[in-house]
Amino acid sequence: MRAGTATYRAGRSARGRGPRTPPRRLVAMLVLFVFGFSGILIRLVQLQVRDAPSYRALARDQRVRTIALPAARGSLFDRNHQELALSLPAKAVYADPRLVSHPAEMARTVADTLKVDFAEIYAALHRPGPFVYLARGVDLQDAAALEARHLPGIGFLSESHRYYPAKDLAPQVLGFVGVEGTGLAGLELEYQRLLAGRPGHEVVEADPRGVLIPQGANVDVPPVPGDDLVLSIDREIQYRAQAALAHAVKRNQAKGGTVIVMDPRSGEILAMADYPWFDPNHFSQGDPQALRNRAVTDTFEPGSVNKVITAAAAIQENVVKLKRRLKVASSYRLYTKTFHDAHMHPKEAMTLADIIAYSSNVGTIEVAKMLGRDRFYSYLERFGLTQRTGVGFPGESTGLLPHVDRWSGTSMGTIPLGQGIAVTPLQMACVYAAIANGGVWVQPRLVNGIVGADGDVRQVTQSRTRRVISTQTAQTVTRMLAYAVRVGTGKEAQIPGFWVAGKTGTARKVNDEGTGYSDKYVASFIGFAPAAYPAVVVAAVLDEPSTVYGGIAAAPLFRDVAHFAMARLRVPPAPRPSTPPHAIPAG
Amino acid sequence: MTPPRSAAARTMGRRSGVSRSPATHPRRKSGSTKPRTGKSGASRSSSRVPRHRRRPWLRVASAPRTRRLPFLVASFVIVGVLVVGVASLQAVVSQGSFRTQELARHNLQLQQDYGRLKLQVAELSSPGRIATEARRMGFHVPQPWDMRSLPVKGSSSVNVRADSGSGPALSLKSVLERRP
Repeated sequence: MRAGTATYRAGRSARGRGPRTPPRRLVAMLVLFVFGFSGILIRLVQLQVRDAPSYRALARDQRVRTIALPAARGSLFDRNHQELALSLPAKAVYADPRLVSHPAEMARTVADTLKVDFAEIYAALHRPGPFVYLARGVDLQDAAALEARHLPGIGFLSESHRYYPAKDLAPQVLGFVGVEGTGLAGLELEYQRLLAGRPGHEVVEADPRGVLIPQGANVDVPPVPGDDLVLSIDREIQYRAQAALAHAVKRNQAKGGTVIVMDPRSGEILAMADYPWFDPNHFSQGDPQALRNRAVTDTFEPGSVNKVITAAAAIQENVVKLKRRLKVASSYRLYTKTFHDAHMHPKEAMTLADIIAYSSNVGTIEVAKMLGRDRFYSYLERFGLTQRTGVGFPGESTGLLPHVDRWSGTSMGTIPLGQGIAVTPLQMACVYAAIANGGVWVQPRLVNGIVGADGDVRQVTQSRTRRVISTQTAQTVTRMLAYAVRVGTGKEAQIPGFWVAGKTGTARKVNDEGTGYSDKYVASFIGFAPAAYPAVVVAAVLDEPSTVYGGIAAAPLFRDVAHFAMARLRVPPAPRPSTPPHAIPAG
Repeated sequence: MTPPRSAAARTMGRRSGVSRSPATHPRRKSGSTKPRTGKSGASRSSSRVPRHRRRPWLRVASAPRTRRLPFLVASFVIVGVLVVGVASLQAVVSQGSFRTQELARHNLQLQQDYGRLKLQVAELSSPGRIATEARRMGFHVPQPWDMRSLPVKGSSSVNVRADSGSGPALSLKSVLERRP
């Protein structure tokens, strides 16, 4: 025992005075652990600090989904709150062709379920890339039926589909909406910002099978639905105008036609029709020429309907007394051009009322000459032939009226007759509306009100007005227009029980080269009724009718439309306007 | 001579609750080292027992006996109630969420049905369809000469009013009045 103790002490003294040094393996272990834990620590810092956002996002993406919530597009109503256009929720069906193992079988199933063309689906499934649309705007029930089949590689997206329940009613006015829900034409385009609303989204958590976790993340930004538009269009009058227009076009073998029905006091357009038309539900199948609202976007040479401006200006400026009888020949030479009346006649005494009633070209030129080109031009300006009406429609034309400084020597022969200028049918309807409204021009409009998502009706901007001629002048012109319908060229526009005021127009069309006039005509009749208390202004224009005269081709169209409109609006008959001074005995 | 105690032993001695000997505790008097449960005669009789059988000066003091069962039961009950309460609350909230989801789905379905019905009504009431149906049933649209109008007597003067300002307001009024 003593010897052992001595050895221990000796050993201690031999190794050193301090505590015993750990063996090497312990040091190695320590180093190993230090390195190991350092590595773990570094990795932890990498994962938890440096890469944390990306991993957080990755994990979030695996369980959190953002579902787009499309905003419901606002509806279009007629003036009586009948739907003209409305949107319903729908589904877009798409496919990942890489996941489709049997394209033919899949295409057959999809085509049969959705009632679409098999070839289109089949072709889509053979397109390269991970995403192809198979169908857009699919009815929810059809989409649900397809979804129930759990076809691999087929997916669904929420969207909305635009419906036009009255089909081809006022298609050029309403316009149409593309598959992406954007207005492409008409009022759908003009009021896109109002109608579209604002889409929302919903963030939800889902389990690996796609089942939503009720208490998971639920960030909900609700979509803001678009506003509804209440139009000035009356659905019934619009239908009748279209039916009458189609009938008139066929009867006169015309190329097309336009009808506008307008309230002269408020400027509200009750109907606006262009033939041919199309079904906005299938606008891609329509004739591209039929897509335009020619009543607003296209111009025509108005012809004799423009004489009303000459007459109004002459009366307003008092250059011609109403009882004054002018000696009117059947032809008139102005510089290099000779102008003729529609029918040859000996030199005849005519009052201004006779000139309007019988639509004398020569008489009108003589009155215009008395007026002078500057004054005449100023009235064309006042009646709005040099500017857009501001109806609120995309692509509205300003018309083509050269400035008076650029008029040629024969301009005072052509423009008073409505040749050498071009106006839109709406501009011309507004001219007659101004006369019917006692000399006050009213800006036409197609929208009466905007209904917000909360149901409140917001008032649209009030129509601009401006006085063009005095009330007395307007009354005198009205009497002349009523006389023209009673005894003159507009007899076909007479409506039993009502006194109508209006004017016929027969204008030659410019040839295709634009170098002169062709032998094609535009026949028109624009007027209002009842003459004493005007309730509606109707403009009827037929393009290239076989019977070229406005009094024969267009006046019956006016009659049909105006008669129905007055019945629809419950307009009572009004007394007959007094006969203006005339020289030609009324026959 | 008592060998010096190592630091570890000192620490252990403190932590294990071993009572110090009177000699090592300068503040404690010798009289206070009597065992709590022992009698005073024991020290007197220590002289009679052999040295190695004497009771040690140091001994492990037993902890005072406390009643733990009620505390444990109460703890378990409280924790249990809390757990069950939280779980029930969670279940109720989940049920509410499921119910809300179900109602939202139902609401969506009703909205879709309403939309479909609205479209159907609009299609059925469209003038074109009614006219087609009427023609199919043998009706025809009356022509102007099919209707008789009563003659109106009165002043023949034209009375054209310049009334343009009230148009929009009137039209909106009519819209408001017809709104359901």
